[in-house]
Amino acid sequence: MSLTRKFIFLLVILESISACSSATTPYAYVRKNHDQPVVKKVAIFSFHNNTMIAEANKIVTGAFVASLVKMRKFKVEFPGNIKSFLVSERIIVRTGVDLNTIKLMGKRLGVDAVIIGRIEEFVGMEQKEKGVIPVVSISSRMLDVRTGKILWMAQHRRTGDDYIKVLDFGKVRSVGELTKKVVLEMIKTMP
Amino acid sequence: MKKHLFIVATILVFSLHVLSGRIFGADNVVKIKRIALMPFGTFTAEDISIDMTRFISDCLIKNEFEVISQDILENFLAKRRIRGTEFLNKPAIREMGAALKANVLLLGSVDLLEDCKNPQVAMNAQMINCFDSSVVWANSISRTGDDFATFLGIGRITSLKKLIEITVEKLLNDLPSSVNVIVDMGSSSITPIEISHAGFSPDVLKGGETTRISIEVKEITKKLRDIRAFVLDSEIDLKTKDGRWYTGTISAPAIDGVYSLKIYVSDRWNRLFSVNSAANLTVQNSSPEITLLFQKRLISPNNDGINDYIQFFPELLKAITLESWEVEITDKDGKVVRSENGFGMLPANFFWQGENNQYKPVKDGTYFCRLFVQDKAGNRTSTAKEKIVVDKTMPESTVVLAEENEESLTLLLKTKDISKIADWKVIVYDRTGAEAGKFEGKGNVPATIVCPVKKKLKKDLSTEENQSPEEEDALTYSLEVRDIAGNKLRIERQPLKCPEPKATEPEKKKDEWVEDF
Repeated sequence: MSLTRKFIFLLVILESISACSSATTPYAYVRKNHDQPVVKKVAIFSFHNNTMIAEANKIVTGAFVASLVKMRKFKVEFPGNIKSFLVSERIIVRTGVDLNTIKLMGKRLGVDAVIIGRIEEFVGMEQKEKGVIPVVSISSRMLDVRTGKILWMAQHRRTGDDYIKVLDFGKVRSVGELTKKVVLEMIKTMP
Repeated sequence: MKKHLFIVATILVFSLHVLSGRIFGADNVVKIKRIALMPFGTFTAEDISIDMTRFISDCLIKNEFEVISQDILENFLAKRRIRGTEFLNKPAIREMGAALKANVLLLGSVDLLEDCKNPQVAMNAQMINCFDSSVVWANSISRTGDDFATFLGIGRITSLKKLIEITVEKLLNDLPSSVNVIVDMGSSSITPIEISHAGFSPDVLKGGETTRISIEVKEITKKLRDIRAFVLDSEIDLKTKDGRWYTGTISAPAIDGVYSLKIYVSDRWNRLFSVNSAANLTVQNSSPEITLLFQKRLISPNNDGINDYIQFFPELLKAITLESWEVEITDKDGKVVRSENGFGMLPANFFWQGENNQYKPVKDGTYFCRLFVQDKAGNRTSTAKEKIVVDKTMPESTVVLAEENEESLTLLLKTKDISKIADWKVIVYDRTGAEAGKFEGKGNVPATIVCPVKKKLKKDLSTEENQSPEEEDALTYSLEVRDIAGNKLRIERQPLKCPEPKATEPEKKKDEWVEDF
């Protein structure tokens, strides 16, 4: 067998191995036939932290804001304005917000949609020993401020090992980087 | 002539361009020069102190940005009582931009800083346009020392300081060099004067009641000339003492609804800007509508695991904001035995375990439950009185032998209970101890039961010898009666007794005349 053939054979094997590795996409829903005007500006609420890691919501919300701004899909409302609005209206946001609040927010801040979410799993932050596989699981939804209807929602769970191409190459070792990847994959499914 | 025409046309086009910019708020790209950097905090890892703000400031200076001194920034924040990033909002950022001549504000947080064998750093940063408080850039990053390890662990970073330097550089490597600003403030969202606070007190009330309004104004780029506030088409008479806080009173509209406050401000050039929905006023004249839902209305709080508590669910039929609620349970005389109250939202459900306010069990009987609510406007309403029965006493039941003949036994049964009887079971045993008859049913216990008797069996002599004459003659029964509250009476093998003869009153002696004095 010539050297070129050997190389091609090796490439095919590597490709098939990489194809075997997990390539899951987020469970996503996008509202079709939505007659409202296009979403231009969104407000992102701090994600509800369902884990024992106190910093998880700051990391995930920060990653979500950063990824949305980078991808330039929507304009993002400054989080300080959202907080200021919630404080002035004496609203506490845990897992969701009521329609009246969303509508008022739309008028006051000039946003077209709000994004709320929840962190289900966040593994790899406190475990200091080596070899811990980071896990991130996030669910999020975008609501229309005029009607309160869900425009988009997604649920996604990935582990650091899901990105292994071959051997240990591609493996994500830090939970922060994994969060960025998970968030990015979710945002890609947005309308 | 042609030359003159050309000059006039050029001037006209230029004027139109400027005018259109003034009317429509044209965008202009401004190079970012000065950056206000909000403190990222100082952290201690092991025995070293790490000033993250300095790391970021150094990186920004390296990228040829001018960073406003922390002293100046802190002075500005202290004057406005802004204690941290979370207190920054649009008026504060715009004011900061104008006061410190900053193009953008950089803020963020350090989410993780771990100094161990494998150091870890996680942080995020956002760049905010000081002109309109829009997010122009954002990034988040997370790095560990292991991320830099290559073949056989070569390149792994073990120093936290070095990892921070690399991470900060990576975090800020794609900062924008310019931002968009609106040349003129014709746009409604960007005004030279910011309304940093507007609110009614109270903000929910009945029609016709008076409410106070307060508005805080911040002059960002231009001086305020006039301010006017409206609810519907009624103007609120505003007064100020310091030129910053404006107050006034208004009588609420009569009809139910949510009314927005509209504010018009004009600057010294007499240009008018409006702020919609600065605050909302809610008029509520009708009482809230509520109901109480019950799964059951019977309770037997005797810790037997059956019906030990009652659960009822309050339901708000009309979606309004409640101020307070009170639930009370009264006895048949109207005396409150148990009550509970709270503010704001109604609880999802209530439990009552048959205790009074002193946490002692209440007596058996009928009780009434009622829920009172008051909305923020002061409208009060209550549910109808809902009946609850407390029954923790087991049924009382007596069984007597009314008649006995060779063919049958007739039993008389008497049962007493507050609640209805759910089911019952009677087993009659003959004199040999064998089961003579078994009767059971649902609902009320019958007043009489006729139990057929089998022909006398030949008694086993050996057993006869051993039995005492009393045992030999006894007819026995077992009884089980359960009421719908779950209280169960159980009698095992008790001798059947004959009805007690009616006690006859002794004849009263007639008063006799005694002649013997």
